Amino acid sequence: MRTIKFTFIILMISLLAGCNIFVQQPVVNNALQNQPIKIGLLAPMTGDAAEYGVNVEKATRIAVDEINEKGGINNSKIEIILEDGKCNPKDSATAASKLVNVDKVKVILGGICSGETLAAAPITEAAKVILLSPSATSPDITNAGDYVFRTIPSDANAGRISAQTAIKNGLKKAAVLSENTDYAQGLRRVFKQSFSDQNGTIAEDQTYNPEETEFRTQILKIKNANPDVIYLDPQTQQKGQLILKQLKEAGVTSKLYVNEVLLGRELLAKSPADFEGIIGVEPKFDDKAGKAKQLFDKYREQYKAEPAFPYYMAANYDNVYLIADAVSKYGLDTDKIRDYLYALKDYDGAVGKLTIDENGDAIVGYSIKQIINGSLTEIGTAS
Amino acid sequence: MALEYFFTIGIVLCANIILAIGFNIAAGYTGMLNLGQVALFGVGAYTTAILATNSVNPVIGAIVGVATAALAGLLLSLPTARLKQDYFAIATLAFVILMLSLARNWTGLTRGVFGIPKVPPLMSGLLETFLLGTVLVVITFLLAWRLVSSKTGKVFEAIRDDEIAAQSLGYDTFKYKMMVMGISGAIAGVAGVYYVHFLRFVDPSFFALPEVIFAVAILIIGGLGSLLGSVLGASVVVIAYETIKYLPLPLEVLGAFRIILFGLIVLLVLLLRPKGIAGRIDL
Amino acid sequence: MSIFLQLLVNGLIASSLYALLAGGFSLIHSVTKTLHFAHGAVFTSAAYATFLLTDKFGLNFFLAIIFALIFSTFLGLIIDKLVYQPFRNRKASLATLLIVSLVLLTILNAVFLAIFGSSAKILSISSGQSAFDIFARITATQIAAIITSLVLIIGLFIILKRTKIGKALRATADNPSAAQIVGISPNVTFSIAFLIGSFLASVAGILAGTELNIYPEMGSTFVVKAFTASVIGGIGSVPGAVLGALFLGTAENFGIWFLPSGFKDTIAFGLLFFFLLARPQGIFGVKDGA
Repeated sequence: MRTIKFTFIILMISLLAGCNIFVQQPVVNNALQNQPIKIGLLAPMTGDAAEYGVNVEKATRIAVDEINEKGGINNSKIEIILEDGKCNPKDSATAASKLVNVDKVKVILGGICSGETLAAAPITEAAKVILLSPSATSPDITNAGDYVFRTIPSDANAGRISAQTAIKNGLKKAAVLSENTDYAQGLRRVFKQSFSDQNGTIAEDQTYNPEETEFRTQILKIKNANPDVIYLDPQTQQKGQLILKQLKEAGVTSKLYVNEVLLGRELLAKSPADFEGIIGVEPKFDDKAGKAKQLFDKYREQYKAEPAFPYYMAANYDNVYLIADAVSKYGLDTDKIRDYLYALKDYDGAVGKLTIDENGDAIVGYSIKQIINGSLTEIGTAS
Repeated sequence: MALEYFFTIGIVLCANIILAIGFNIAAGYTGMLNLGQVALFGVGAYTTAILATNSVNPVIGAIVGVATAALAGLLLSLPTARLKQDYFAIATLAFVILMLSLARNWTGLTRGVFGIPKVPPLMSGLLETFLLGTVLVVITFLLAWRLVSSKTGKVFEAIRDDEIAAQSLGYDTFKYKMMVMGISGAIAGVAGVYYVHFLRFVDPSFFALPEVIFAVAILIIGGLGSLLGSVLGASVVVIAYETIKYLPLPLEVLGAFRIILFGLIVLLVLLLRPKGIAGRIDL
Repeated sequence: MSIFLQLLVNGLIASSLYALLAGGFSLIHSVTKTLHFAHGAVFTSAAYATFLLTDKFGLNFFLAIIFALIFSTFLGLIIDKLVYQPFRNRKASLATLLIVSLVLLTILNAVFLAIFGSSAKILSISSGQSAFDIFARITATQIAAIITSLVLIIGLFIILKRTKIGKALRATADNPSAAQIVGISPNVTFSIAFLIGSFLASVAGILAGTELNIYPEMGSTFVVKAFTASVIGGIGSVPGAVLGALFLGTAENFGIWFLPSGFKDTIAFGLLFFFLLARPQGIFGVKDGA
């Protein structure tokens, strides 16, 4: 009985402590100048996908600092409220709820993962809060909501372009090896569909679960089918590197087409020999020029590390600027911000020219790259 | 008002309390450490999500979801009920992993890793959903209370304490064990259905191992063999889980720290105070 | 025919890791009756320790292995003394010990996550291997893994069958009270079981680290497979666990030749479920069990 009373007391105290946090939030009043403008950031800071969140958050800070140094938005500084979505729908929902209902943000940058974004969407839609993701690629996001946007294209495009490129290069028989995650499965579906539509044959279609670490038998099946080309579709670059090694060990000689994950710069720099010869498709995005170069130079200087996911980071950097621009013109009126985003055409961002379509998806050009002598060389473009 | 945030947490809390009550009836009262409880939650969630996104009336979908979860519990009990306590736990854990595999791979039914988005809500607002949750909690609690106070409930506890003695008294313990699994499956189904219509999204992560550990933590901290324990245990764990986020630790470490902290608390409770907050028996 | 051989070899490579892990797990289980799932964390710790020593401290690979082995073997012993023993002193039930072990595994995985982060790590020795064609394609590291596993398993059997320590272990496994009466201290035999078992797990961890990606939860997947192997071979039998590992590795690889490869895990857990429920004495029919 004592313990029960004790528990009640602890519960009451923690509830009161919780309330205290709310009391500390200033009442948001847009009309007042010099009140900070709060923007939410929903990203996985812990758990399996933490590396994405951590990197994107750093790029976001760079953008915010730049804007604030120039005086902020109409003399109000931007304040980022960061919540950990953990790339998990349940946690993302409570995080989004806090951002929307406690912090009262009108714009949330994020989620980074598709599951995160899809779980947050019903909450942001109900409150007419803008949800702007730089990296969620699930096809379901196209229809997730009127106020849901993304500055990365749906999976659909990269898969299609990879298939087209393969066919164009005379590769008629393909095998697919994909990881069982929403990102990779989206690409797999589109690649297969597109490849068959252009009269190619899919000789083998193998998937593996994220926890698996050896793929010898899947590779054996693929090798046995003797495909002209293998489409490699892992979730992480380390997994991709492992697969490439095991492919080499098995003596597989087919051409290797990969998703953008395998074009990550950091691992490429560390062990270029493992990645030699692979051809990949990624959004056309020159990280060595313009705003992107400035961003990454600053990043390297500030954090003494290579930017691990340049596209997502550049996209979120752009997203901060887009929101800042919209807010400076229309204040925190989310209907107007929404219209602004739908109307976006050929915006000159760190990711290149950015256009948003009628579903809130991004339209970007693509770059086809190959690793030649250890360096990433563009061999073509597409859209 | 920040009230909506409270309602969100409240909704999560209601779902966990209901789940915990179901878990306790099996584990605390009957001695069946059914680690598959979260899988039954997931079965309820997926069933109603699949139906509701295929133009079935959500209320009907909800009822079918609960029934399916109950059936799954029953079916799970058939081969496992005669196993010794720790092997029973392992077998039910294997069931969770099997369900995870199914959710991921049976893409025709579950859409695999994409999950099922746009599940229609049961209630139209956060306040209404929260109130529904409270009503469900009260109903579940009262029904569970009646069950464990009844003669059947006493048989459950007899099975836990000494199954052979119960058998020698003429009770078909296997049938009772099946009943328990069906009931706690139904309760898990209620929690799952309620939760998924709030989240409006379901994916295979519902069957992941951390969910099992979370449910076990609630069971142990709350205490076995006590419905009040389930309520208090769920409250403590859910609220602590949320408020620990506000600790001034660097975020990269915070997530791991949260797990480590909860794990240590569970171990300490098991070691030093195995009855938890309000439990009547030790594990 | 060559495909059949390649599948066999693939199965052998997987089995050699499972066998080391399953042998240790089964030894610990039969002697101490503990379902030591935290065994997976010992496995992971060896891989990470090797990574830390070679990558961050630039130590020579073989020197790093020695330190990692020592560290992880003793980690296993510490887990027993610091975590399980207090519960045993309180006469905790086997179900409690199981929960303790699962929670401990979760905690340790989180520790690895906190220290090393979630992105997978690779041991630098694993790059640039070329494969040989001996019956089937296999690399030098994989041959080394199979040979190491074989040697250690044989060593384990020799210890169990022909040494006094082995006799003491088997006696405690068979009948702890009788063993105690003839002067075999349970504490000592428990420690020995944990030391041997953890050593085998550490070797497996290092071998896994050379072949595969190192990530925080890798121990969980492997230890469940190790447990499955013990169940297939018959709970309570160490040779059974090893044979079960062979069976599991082969079944997985042959299985996904015929089934869609996403079902690899399903094969393992399906087997676990089946054997736990339908034939708990395993293929080889040993005592104990459900």
